[in-house]
Amino acid sequence: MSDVDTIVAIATPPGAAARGIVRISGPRAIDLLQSVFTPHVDDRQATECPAMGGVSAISDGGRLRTGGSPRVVSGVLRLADPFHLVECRLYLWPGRRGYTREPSGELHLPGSSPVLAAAVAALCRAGARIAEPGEFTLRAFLAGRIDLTQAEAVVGVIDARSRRELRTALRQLAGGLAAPLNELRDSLLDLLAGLEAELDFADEEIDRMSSAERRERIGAVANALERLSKRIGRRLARNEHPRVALTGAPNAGKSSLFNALAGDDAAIVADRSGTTRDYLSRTIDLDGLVVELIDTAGIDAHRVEDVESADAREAAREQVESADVQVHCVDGAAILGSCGVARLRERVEGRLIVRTKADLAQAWSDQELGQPTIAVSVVTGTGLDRLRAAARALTCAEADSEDVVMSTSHRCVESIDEALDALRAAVSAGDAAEWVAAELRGAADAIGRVAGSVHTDDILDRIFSRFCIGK
Amino acid sequence: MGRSTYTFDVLVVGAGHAGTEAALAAARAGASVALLTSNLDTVAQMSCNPAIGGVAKGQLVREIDALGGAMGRAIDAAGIQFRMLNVRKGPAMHGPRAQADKRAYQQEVKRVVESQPGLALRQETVEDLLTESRRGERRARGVRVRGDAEYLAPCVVLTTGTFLQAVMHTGEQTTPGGRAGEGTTAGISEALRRLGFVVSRFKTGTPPRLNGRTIDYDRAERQPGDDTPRPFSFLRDRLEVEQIPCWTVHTNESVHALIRENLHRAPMYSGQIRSSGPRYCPSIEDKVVRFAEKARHQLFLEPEGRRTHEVYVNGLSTSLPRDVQDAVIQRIPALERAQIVRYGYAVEYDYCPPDQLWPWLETKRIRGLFFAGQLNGTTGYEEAGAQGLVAGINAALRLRDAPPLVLGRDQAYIGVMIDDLVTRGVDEPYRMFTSRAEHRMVLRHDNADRRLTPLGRRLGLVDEPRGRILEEKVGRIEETLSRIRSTRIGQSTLEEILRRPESTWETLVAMFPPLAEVPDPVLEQVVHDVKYAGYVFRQRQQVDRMARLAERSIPPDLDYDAIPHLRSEAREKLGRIRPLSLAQASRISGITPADLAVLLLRLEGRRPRPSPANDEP
Repeated sequence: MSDVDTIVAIATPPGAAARGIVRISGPRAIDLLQSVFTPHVDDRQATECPAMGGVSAISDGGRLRTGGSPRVVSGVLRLADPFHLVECRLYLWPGRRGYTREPSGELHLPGSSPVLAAAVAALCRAGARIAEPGEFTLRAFLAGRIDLTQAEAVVGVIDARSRRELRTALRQLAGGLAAPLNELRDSLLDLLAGLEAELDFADEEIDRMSSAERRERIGAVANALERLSKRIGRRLARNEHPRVALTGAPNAGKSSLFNALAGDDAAIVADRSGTTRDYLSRTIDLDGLVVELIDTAGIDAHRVEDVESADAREAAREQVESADVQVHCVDGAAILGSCGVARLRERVEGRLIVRTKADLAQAWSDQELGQPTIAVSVVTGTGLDRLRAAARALTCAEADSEDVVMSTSHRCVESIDEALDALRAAVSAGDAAEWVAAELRGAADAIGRVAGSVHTDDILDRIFSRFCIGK
Repeated sequence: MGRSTYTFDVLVVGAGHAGTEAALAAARAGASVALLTSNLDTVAQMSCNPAIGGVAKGQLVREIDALGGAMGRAIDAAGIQFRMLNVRKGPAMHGPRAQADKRAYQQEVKRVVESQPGLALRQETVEDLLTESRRGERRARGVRVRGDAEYLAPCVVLTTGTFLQAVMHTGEQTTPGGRAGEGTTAGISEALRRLGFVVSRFKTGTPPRLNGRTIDYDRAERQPGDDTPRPFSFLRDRLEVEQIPCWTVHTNESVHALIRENLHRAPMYSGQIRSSGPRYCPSIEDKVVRFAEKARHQLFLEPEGRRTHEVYVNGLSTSLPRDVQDAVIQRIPALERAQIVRYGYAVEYDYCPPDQLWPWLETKRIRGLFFAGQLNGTTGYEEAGAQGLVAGINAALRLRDAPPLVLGRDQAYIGVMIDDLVTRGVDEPYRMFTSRAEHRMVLRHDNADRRLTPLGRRLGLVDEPRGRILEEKVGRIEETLSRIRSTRIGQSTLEEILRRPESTWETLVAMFPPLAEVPDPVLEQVVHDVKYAGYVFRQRQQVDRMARLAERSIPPDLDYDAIPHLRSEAREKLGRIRPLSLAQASRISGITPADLAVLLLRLEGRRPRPSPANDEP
């Protein structure tokens, strides 16, 4: 935590919204905005905005002025491919009148996640840092803008949420990102243990790694991390509507339900069917909330052995894991299979259980299952509205956390990129073990922010379990 | 006859490595000090290996010396072999180590203690701690010793080593005592429990000692000292010393088989010992079991002195029964005929988990009571000495209610160690490693004087001559730096040339011969300053980035129960450790950034803040 950095974050919830806001605050906010934003007209003619407490003032000539009063400036934002120049409005507080009493600004952009992500990335490249959860609030409090009760409430809520959000973000970014990240953290810790043992136990007979082998292994970690980073980049740039996955055993009625939910022409927002033969997805409107509906073609998140092809299994599992909400279908007309019922009895966050084929004679009751279900019939249309409402509410609860999920995702990317930089520095540090160790430590700390923090004790544990040390 | 009563400013209980440094530091800072030991002949005794220093530990000794402590000077006087470890690594990794003549080391420290004005060394066995309540606060009052006498003082430093409720194990045999041939201290342990301290148990071990005349050195590998031994103390430029070599031998499969056959008789494996020992100093039983794939283990034969044939077998720590120890030795090449003069043993002892201490080593529970050394769950003479010094000076500062000395993690290994102890506690005996120090690149052994001596001088720990030596050295460093900055060879300054990875001081001297007269200790600092400048700059930036918020102090009496939104785990830990800054709080295991944010909010809530009405800059 630091109060001298300039921080940036998306300030609107993910999913559908007409416009999105990217917020930036800190001593260098205006500088950084200048490097990515060009006013249409002379900033001198910027709209006065009495609501922001501002008056219009002098010009800098086509460039954003560093000083002046709070104001609104129209202009274009220069972003990376494929966006190039994006029209936007900048609400600017050059002095101390903003929420945080630091130079700050809000870019009001089209409500498209990829565009917002690109804007955040551009500002980070210019030198901003992704805000920690609650950091704007913290600064506002420190500046005397809000009182203790308000601030504590916000931070307290974020505290409770941030762990879950990190998980959610990881899930959304690349279903199953956590596992490879943990593996990489592990490899790094192993490398570090070897190095540190060499440094701290000079007198011991320790198998030392040659610097060529070490470089090779660091390189391997860097490559794996780079692949992950690219994968996440693709995910981030992609449509980021909340995801609702239909799961359940084959013949549980998922496909009919999918068609019932998506098939209503009026509800189809975009047609992106048949992405792979392993699952279908449609962007649909759930009572005003735009979500990605996914049919996993007979996949139970936990019973993946049902699927024969490993690739298909992987693709399907990724879909389920990256979903915010799971709608699990159980055939109401068939006898409850014994395997799998135990899992249905567990409470799972973000899962709804749907009893399908409610128009037929029912073979089991909710009491037998020990869980409430939503009874649906696609033949009569019974329960579809109830399901829509429940799915919408659950999606909002799971996916909506204001700016947090998005900014958490961005922090993941930032941490991974930081780790990559450190690994590259480690490779170029050559044979000097203590320098290599310093860089690897930096990389492990960066990954640790996503995959679990690293303490010296973790490294010592590895040293003592791997090397016979002790005079 | 009435009870005898003696009055002092500071009492130090125990005259080991922690106790002697504590007593010396407090006395140097102007306190009248009594140093109480149950045996005057074991002052500064090296209970385990006859060596001082090593990687990270060597840095600690240099820091103790830079603060005016005795350890560096004593090992310079009593060393019989000097080696700089890790010389193939960068300078921050170098660690000085020396073998000691045990007896000479003890006598040297004892002589220093006896010569210190204001310090009374007494042979006394402490049986109880005396406290009193004043203004709603429990305070130290003194100690009661065997033979109906009391020592009274407002500050008491406890450095009881492994002697609290100590039990030694050799095979099935157990003997009460903290060191071979000596007793144990029960009274203090009881007093600590009575006063409400949490007391826990650790174990450690020692190897057998051999009669050197019975070792076949021709079949061992010789390990000589450095050609130019480097002194530990900044007060000396060079050492004139006749060095004695150490030797290495190896165990083999036959030894391992024998140990495996007798595992059931090893107290660690039979369940006789339950407490945990240090993983970095495993017994030979542990090594054979845990690293079964290793065909042999290295052993170091270290002479215990110039005037004795006793040899310490480093690496063979064991609690196996005597007959097994004899048989093990006989199966080791070069030791077949060797005779054991003292058997190895494991020792179990009480320690007080150090999260019961403030960062200046005073107990949170009792004002004026300080703990240092193995009592805090550490191991090693250097770790003990460093804590002793800090506890001693803080006892003296407490007398005049002056602010305590707390060294930062970026300032000294001593700071790292004490912060680790009081913030994270210990779950095995704590030993210093360089990997514990995140700022180790700047905490070099060679710059300990520049880092700490000025501070020692201000506190009265360092005398005028030592202060002057440093001033002169720093003057010459600055002069040399400005010279190489202003001298150009072609396009570049000498400093720029030196910064290139391939350049050395010799490169500069070849280009600019007047530099040849710069003395070694000065040029060493200049070279490191220049070569490390980039790193130091980067690290400084990181520290500054963190500093403003992280160094915000936390009142010691903050009521964590009154902070809503703090998770219960965080509340429990913060309430127990009572960190004094946000930075320290962040190092408590399990404390998240969000916990810190909640804490910061509360701290800010206590301060007057800018009013929302006052808007423009």
